[in-house]
Amino acid sequence: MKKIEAIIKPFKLDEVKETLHKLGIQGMTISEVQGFGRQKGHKEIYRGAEYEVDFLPKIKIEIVVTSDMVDSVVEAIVAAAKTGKIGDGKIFIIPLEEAIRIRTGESGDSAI
Amino acid sequence: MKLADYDYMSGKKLARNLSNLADQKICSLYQGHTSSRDIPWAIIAIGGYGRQELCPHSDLDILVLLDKKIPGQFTKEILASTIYPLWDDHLSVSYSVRTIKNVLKDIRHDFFLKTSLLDVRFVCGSKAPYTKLFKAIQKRQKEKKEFLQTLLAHTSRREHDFGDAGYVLEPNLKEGRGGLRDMQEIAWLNKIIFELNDISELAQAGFLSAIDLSDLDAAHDYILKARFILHCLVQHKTDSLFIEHQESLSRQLYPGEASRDTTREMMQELHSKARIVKSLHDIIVSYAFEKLDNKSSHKTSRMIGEFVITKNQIGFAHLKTLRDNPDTLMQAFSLMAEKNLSLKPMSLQLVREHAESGNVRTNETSIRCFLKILRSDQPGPALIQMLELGVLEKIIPEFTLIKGLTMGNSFHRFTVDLHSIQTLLELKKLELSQPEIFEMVKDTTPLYLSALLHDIGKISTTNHEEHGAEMAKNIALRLGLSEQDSVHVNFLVRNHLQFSITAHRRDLSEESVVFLFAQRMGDPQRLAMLHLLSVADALATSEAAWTPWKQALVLELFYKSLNILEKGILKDPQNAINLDQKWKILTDRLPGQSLWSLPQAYILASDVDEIIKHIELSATISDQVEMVVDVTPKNDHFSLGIITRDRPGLFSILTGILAIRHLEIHTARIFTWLNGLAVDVFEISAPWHDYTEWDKIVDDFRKITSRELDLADTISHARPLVSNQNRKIQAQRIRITIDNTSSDFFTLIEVHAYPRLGLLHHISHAFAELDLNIHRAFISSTQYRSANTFYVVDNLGEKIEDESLKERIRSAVVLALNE
Repeated sequence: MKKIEAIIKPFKLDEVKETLHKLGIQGMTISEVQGFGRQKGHKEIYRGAEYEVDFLPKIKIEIVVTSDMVDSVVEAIVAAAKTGKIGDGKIFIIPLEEAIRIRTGESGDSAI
Repeated sequence: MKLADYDYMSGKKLARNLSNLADQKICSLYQGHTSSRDIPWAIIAIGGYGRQELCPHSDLDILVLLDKKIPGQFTKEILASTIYPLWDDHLSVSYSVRTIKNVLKDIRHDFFLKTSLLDVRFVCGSKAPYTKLFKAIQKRQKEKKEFLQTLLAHTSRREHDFGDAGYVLEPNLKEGRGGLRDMQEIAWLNKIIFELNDISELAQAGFLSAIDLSDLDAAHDYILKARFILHCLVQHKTDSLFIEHQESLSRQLYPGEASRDTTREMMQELHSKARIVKSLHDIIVSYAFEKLDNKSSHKTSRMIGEFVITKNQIGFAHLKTLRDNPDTLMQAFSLMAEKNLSLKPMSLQLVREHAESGNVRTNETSIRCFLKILRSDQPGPALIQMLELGVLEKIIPEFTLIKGLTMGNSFHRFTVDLHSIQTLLELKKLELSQPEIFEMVKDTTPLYLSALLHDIGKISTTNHEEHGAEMAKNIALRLGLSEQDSVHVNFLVRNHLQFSITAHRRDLSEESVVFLFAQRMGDPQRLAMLHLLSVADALATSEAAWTPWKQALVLELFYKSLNILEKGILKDPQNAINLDQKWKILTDRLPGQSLWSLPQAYILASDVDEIIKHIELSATISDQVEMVVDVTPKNDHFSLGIITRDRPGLFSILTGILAIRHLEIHTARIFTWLNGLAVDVFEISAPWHDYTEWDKIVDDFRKITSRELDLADTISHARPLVSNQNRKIQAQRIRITIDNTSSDFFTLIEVHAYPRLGLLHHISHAFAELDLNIHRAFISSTQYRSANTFYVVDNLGEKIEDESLKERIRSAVVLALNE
């Protein structure tokens, strides 16, 4: 199994969630994060007061899937999250050692 | 006993029964204890058990009391014979073995032990040590002031740790303010400060009215019963009424009616009862202070109108003041807010009785007082008092709808009514911390009123903003606000969620998104008001609702919208009207047609017939039809519309074609639709009068894009027409401005130069070489001057911030035009 971490633009959350549901993925963890890569923050000067934006709000989505699902999930996220403009985000794939469902104690694929 | 049998019993009876059962159990265990009968010892109940208020999972607090000393094996024997059997029965017993001396020493520094001993009760054993202890405790209740201070310290810590049971979503029935602990504190104050035995004596002594007392009693019973049943349901010592237990508890308290929303009823009732307990608790605390203070220095009082002010507290001049002059009710609150005072306990009672008997006037004086309160610096205490005493809902009857209403989700900490007041208070704080934005608001009264009323429509589950907006407007008019201000109130309530929704769910890097939002706002003042209301609403909701993350998005939307309203197209109010009119006509003439891809700037700059024609033509673009050319002859020139799919360098190609065809451009409006189509309209002169070779444009385009024709080469060989050659060739005077402040979405590059053949092509070719994308352009040429404004972004879709790139742009344009 693999863990997929996707950093996306905030307004794309609903679309990505929708796409993942269609693929049968029910569970995910969402966090509000900040970051930037090549899309830099910048200074705005407004009415003589500087208002600095080096803090670009993004959304991080974390899901765990079986290895055979990785390609379709990545494709789906890219399609849903892409705007073509800078700052669209990135997807990371991390190998996962084990997963356990707390309520039942199941482990492995059935815990996902 | 089955749960069903609880229906008809009062809370106190249930708790007492359980306590009696515990007594029986302990006594029987005592009977079985054979040794140590010669030493007098007793089992004494303290704390809740002492009060005979036991819930199924409450602690059993026991004191094993001996007279003089504790014999060696005594403790072990007690444990074995009495305590262990109780634990075996799953009773949570907390015990201590002490001599009378131990006890008296310990209570000096243990506040909890002291207070739990206030409810001391003999269970079984030898009465002698109990009586001795009892008398000793009575004697020691001298340090009243210290007791009061310590008690209050505990009260505020409880409020901090457990919140106010009268308002929070998941009230803690025991420790929250207005819960059972408040009741206990009233009993302790009663005993220690007022030296009375029973709470009922407070009425006789004149501190509480008979009605207040019976209200208190009923409240106590209700909360106790709720706690009792909660313990039964959860099988566990839990005093916080979590959301997941609320429904089942409510079904127990209101049995038999499956269709009722018993959860909401129960929570409203619980909140109401807790508020009564807290209110009366605080009144009694005030009286306690007064009683202790009687002995201290003389009080200075002063008169303000019909009021006596003593030590920062407002009292009515006489008991009859309120009855004789009902206007003084609202005047009292207004004075409270104005001068940061509180109301005397007696005044609170008078006001409550007055409000309950329906005598709160909503005449001009009262309304003026109310608005004064809204406008004051610290309206909080006055408004909250008005809420608790039932006065607010008399001034604004619609407030009854949201009284004690909970939102049923975990985002909101408080009930709707308190949340609304909190929103107003957060606004007041923002006035101090964000003066620059507040300056943009001319009259703050509609803003404050909107804060108070923004959730007034919450009772309807869908679209509460719409519903509430209508109500709020009517309330505003009733309170004497002008028509314009009332319209503001309507706008603010209707849109109070829009800021958050747009900022978090729409693409703020898209000009059209921000434009539509700015248009909806209408002007900078409304934008500022809505922004402030949204921030205050979030701050009053919970800590998680206003994080720096959320703030970043909201501020981005705010500043970008402000720019459009102050510097952009919407700066001129005529433009907004113009746009509205055109939209109306378009939606009328093209019903069902989706118009989402039309940029606002395009609609503004074009007339309706033209737009409709373009829409029709654009529908014909397909894989076979790459480009559509539409020509309209005008007086002495032609209007040439070209529609095709946008691509890098498109403008450079088109202007190149026009140049080699000798079609002179006078003006041009260049747009990129949101669906990716380039829609360009040129006003041109043709080389001869009845020029018809328009199809050649499409041919040329095809040839150039398929590389059959080398545009650069062809252009370099182009020469002006003979008819134009008598024009003097002027040296180029080029002025280039690169502007990053006028738009948040594009860099505006202005190029002024002397007109010549292929000017636009050379400029746009230079842009294309630098990977710049022309999104929009306005061209205007006279005989002597060509003025061109290009809205560009770089190849990543961002504005051009890089200084070296800006330099390269300038050099490239100058170079291109000087060839």
